[in-house]
Amino acid sequence: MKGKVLLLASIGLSVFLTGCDAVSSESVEDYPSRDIEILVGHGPGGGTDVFARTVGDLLEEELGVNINIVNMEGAGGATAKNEAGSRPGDGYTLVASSAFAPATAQGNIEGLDDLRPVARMQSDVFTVLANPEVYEDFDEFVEAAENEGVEVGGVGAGDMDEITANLLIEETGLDINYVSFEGAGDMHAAALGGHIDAMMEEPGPAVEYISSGDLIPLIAFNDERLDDFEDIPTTVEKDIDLIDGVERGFVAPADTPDEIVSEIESALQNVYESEEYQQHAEDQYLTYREGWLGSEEYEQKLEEDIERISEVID
Amino acid sequence: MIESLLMGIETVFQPLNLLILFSAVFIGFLGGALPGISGTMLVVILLPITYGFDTTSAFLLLTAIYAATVFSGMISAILFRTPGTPEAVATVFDGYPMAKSGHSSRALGIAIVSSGIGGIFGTLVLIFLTPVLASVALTFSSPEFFGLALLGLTVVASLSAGQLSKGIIGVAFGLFIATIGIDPLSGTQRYTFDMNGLSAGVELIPVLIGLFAVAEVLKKGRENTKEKQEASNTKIKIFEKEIFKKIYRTITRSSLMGTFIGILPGVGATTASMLSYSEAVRWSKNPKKFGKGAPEGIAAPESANNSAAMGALVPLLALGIPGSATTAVLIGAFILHGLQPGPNLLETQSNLVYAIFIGLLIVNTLIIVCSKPFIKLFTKIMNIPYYILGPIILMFCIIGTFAVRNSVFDVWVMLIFGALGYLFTRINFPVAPIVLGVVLGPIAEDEFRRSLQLSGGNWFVFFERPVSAGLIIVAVLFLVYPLIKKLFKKSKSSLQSEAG
Repeated sequence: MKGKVLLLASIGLSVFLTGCDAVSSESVEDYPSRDIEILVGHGPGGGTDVFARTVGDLLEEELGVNINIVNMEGAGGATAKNEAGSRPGDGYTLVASSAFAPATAQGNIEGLDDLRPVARMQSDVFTVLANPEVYEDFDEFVEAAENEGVEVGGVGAGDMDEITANLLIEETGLDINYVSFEGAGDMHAAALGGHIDAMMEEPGPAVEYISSGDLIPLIAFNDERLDDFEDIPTTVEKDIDLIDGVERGFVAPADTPDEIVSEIESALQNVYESEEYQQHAEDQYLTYREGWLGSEEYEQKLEEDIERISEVID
Repeated sequence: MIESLLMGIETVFQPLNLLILFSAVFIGFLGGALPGISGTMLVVILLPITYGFDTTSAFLLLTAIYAATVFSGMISAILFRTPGTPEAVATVFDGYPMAKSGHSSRALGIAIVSSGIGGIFGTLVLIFLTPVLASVALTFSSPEFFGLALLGLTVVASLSAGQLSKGIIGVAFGLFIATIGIDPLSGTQRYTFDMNGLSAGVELIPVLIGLFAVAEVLKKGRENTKEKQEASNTKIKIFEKEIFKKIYRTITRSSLMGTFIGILPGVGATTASMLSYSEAVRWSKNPKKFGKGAPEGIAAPESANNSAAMGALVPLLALGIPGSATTAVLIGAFILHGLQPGPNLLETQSNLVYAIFIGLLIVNTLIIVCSKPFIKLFTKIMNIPYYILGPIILMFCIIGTFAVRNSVFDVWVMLIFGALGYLFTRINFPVAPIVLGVVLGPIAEDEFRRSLQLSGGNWFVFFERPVSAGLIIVAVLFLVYPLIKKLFKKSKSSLQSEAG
């Protein structure tokens, strides 16, 4: 009886293993031969979701297979990344990633042990935005922060918004009280309603409020002034050593073979250079900084960021 | 404005757009009636198809689907105790008992009338008051949101069917479930036990489907299901004069409440229907009849959720701020169509916006007109013997739950809550307070803590602002009043006994 079970089990195991072998040896050469899933750790409609859908649409043409966007909302994007980490690295699972470094530093994901970077496509610039009737410029904001303290809103807890706000406090010694919101929409409502003094946000999502005159950027976290906002000072010229922002790219399970990663990488590069994508990036004010980083440079950048942010959190 | 409206009418009445509206209503009906398939999901699924349309047709389709799903969630809620969408959860409380007592056609009729009136009311507000109300909504800050949630929570007494202590335990349990996951304000893991599934928190939909639908399937499995459910052949009477006389006040109040709560950023139709159900119980002269098939108990959530769904479009179209989960998806849809929603949308895209307005008005009318044949189809399902129907419902629950965020973990959560819900019905433990806790818990907690963050830890923040102070004082009074009344009665009776 025992022998039979063992025999059956070993037959089953060997069939299973040969099956796996067949699939993986086949898939590296023929990749991609079936639908690819892009996991999004945030709800539909948000920045990362829009990014994944825009790129996914164009990537379909590049790779010639269907691409399904799967929203796995939760835990600031960690759920999707952890799910991807547990999947086989066959190139059929990708994650549209943002906040990779802070999530790793916080211990919510395994980081580069679980996932390997494929390419970065967006590097957005943080700005501090406020009602122009309250603060005319950054100096007034600083004055208020020194005198009575200011409430600055951001999205998420322990994410890039909060970390950047903390870095700003560390660099400048200003009395900034960080107020976290669950979604950008709630934060925009609080800023427009005057319930917070300022908010951390990229120019893209706030551009309609800027053009309507409800909000103005006070400072840009960049080394050069931004094209559309020539009057707005940068952190670097104010002697604040911070040029952070939101970075979006794609990561894959860590055991994805090099050949497949480089194939996706070059397809993504074609997407990045395409007219459609560049038009989208321009419409969304994503062109202030070069977004593209190949897999190696992206990995290096993430390593540095994780180290730097881990220090801040400790 | 009149000109824009006329332009809107002209656009919407093009044959292609009318066809789109009709099909959207049908798709929305179907999706809303199936558990787990919510408006949010349908909009996401159909979004890629709309890339080929011109923008107006695309958004007519998406907004019409959105309105229709909010409406049709009540069909399965009433017939099978399966809320088809989270917005319909409060409709289960009275809709299902009424249907069970043989009046399913009446229950559906009340729901249709209330939904239609709520939806049309919400749309009219949307058309005429969008800019004004959007700025009113902006004056609401965290302390007010907390006050609102607190007021909703105090209704537990009336939701617990005379068993106050059980009700309080239920609410506390619901509030506890709502704390599971990564804390949105500090990033700390709470009750996650290092499980990836739990760190994202317990999703609302699996809890609702488990507690209501799965529990009912389990319960019915024990019953003698040979008896034929009647009602399946009775005609649906949409409008009954006597009933309408009873519920028109509730409809009016709930439509007003629903629209306003919908307008508030971040508070959606589910919360609106819960809160207006609570208020219907509170304002009723006979609160004990709720939960047993009261017509007001169907009218309140149904008029509220449909009007709130329209209200949620106010901040979206006026400010580019989502009023709820589905409107957040619509913002993404705007961006993917190359439009940026924001304070200028009403001016720069007035043709599109007014076409959407007119489209919604038509859809809400179509809902009343078209729902009858559709629901008739659905009531036919009731003729299927339950030993076949039950497993089918269970299957749809599993598929629907999985589809919410593609998570097998959620399916387990749903099954566990199904077992719990079954247990609760066996020991006669009210389920409604748990739902109250799960729905309002996150709002109450986050806004409470955010208020304190905003004020730098100053507790007076809740009382410095008139609206929040008012809401909180009223809530506390409602909590304390029954106790005082009891005490008063006691001392009076003891006085009497002393005198005697």
